[in-house]
Amino acid sequence: MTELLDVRGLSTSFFIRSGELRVIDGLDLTIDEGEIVGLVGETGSGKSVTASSIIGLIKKPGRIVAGEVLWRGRDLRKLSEQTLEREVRGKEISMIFQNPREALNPVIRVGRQITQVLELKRGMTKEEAHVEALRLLQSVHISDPEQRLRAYPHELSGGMAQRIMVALALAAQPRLLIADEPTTGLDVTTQYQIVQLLRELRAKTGMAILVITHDLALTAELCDRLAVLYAGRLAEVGPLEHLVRTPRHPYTNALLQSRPHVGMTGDIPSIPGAVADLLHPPAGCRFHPRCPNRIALCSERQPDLVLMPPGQQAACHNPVAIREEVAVGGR
Amino acid sequence: MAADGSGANGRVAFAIENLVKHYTVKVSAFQSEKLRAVDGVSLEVRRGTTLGLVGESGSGKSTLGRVALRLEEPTAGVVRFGDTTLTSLSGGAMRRLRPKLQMVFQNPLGSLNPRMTVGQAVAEPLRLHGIASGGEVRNRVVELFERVGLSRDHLSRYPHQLSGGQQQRVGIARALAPGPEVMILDEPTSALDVSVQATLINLLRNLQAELHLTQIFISHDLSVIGYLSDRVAVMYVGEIVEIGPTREIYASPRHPYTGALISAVPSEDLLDRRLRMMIPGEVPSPIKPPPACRLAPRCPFAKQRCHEEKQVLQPVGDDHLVACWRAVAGEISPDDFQHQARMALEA
Repeated sequence: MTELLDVRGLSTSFFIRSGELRVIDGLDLTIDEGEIVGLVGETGSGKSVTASSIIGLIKKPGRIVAGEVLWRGRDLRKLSEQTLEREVRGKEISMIFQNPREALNPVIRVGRQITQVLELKRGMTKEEAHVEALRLLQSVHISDPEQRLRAYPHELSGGMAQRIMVALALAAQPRLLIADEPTTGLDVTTQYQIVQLLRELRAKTGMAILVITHDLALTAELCDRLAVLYAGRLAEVGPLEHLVRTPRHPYTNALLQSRPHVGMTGDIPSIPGAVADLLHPPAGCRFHPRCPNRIALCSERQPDLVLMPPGQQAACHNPVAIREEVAVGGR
Repeated sequence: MAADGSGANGRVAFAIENLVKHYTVKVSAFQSEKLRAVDGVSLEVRRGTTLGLVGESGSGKSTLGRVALRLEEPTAGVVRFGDTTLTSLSGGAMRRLRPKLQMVFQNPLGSLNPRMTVGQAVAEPLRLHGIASGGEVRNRVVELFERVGLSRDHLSRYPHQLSGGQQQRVGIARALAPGPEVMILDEPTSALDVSVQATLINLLRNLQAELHLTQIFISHDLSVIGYLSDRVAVMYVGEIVEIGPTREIYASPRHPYTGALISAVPSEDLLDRRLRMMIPGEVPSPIKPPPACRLAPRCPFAKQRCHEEKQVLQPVGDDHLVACWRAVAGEISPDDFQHQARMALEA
């Protein structure tokens, strides 16, 4: 498969009164054509800042301080704002957000918001744009598309608004859709409808999707590959199955273990302590103060991402052992 | 269930009968309509047990929690705490009972005064209800802080100086301060990160057991409810559609809506993709809910009768009630939910 996006050594900091917040610190991430990648992390992990950095939407006091964002071979960081806006953002790379109603313009009918994009980014006439807008609403399974085009955002339910956002994002026929917590805040029954929709659209159009989420269960239903972020650094990256069944980084392992479930007895295994303070991050591995596997080296040297069996990369000096039944090929 | 609420399953400590909460909302300059947030809910919680209340947004579960403790007045219905009927108490009598009935909210910052140290915030209910005075107060506060996993160092901090998890611990300490018997917890861990959530859930579970609290735990998260609750009640658009023992409901849900919710619970192995039951459409507005069974317009198993006849909770097993005539008649079962999921996947 061809590589669409290749992020190399990306570092983004926020310069506030008390100092430099190193929100992302040397991040590498690739996305292939048609691939669904999950960027998983908790609050303050830098997952949303990563997305904004990729599409050049970091605002003051934030700034990308190092790294390259190679999009189909060209470095987006070297493009002017106009070129980025005209050729890439909202065209080759589209984005959907957690609060779809807030992302839509409240005083413009949703139909007009879609046709505007079609006229602007695909050079359609008004009539062509209207026909295409109807087709787009049908492709995201909205019933009564004619009527919905005339609706204002506040007249839509949460699930409907997210479908409209997806339609809007698809309008420019992007090669990559960045979906920031696309199902958070939606009802359980609606969440699944959106997951199904995203999978179907990938199959039909071949676009890649970068899913940004805190929800491992969501990634398990949607993603091919996962990248787990902790305090601005990648802890582990690799195929979904490996990360979920044989995690090597203690943080990935802890995230998986800390989900409660029915019939579980005793305490839920939890991660002690709080997320690292980015103003004064711990030396060495940023997870070491909370890590059950830490050894002396962990506070001294930052671990590099290295390839580990059964086939993922993890940044850890003392990785989680592979459970035996898996090592011998069982399950 | 014995009529007096006692019997093998223990005494009922908290009961709600036919509770109704309607709001009047303006739909235009000249027109108001009734929003049926809670529409005739009955349930019982036995002493020292936790009832999990699940539902999606707009199901009325949070309103139910507030009305049950009379933080808002119900439109109709009765709430009982032991032998006392809360809904007929005067304001003064209700205030005297308040220490026994406490609530924990999703957003602890909203219920903490930003200008008060968290130590003062926890001391306040102790003084207010005359539980402690003078030097005793500080000792009690320190004790409560330790109980919820905070240290003495935290006493003099302000709410904004604490992490989300620590703020919620303060919220819990404040609710525990007056020595409650009944606690209603409304999504207490939903705003927290996964790693922090786990420690809070462990804390709540251990506190419940140690203090023998009677709890209603409100959440949209079926994994959390499944872990913490002895019994579960499922709400849909202002009504309870199913109620029963947690293990039984999770193993064999009887209402199609419960079936869909349970099929969405991630299994222990995240890749063990169970068949998910598809319910098309979205939750209807509580302003104009469907007239008969409220799920009927979305239900894959609906028959003509479902659109015509209001459904009431009926027994389908020991301590297990469901508001679906087809489930009661044995016409639909968990196997049918599985089958529907398989068909939906193939389609």
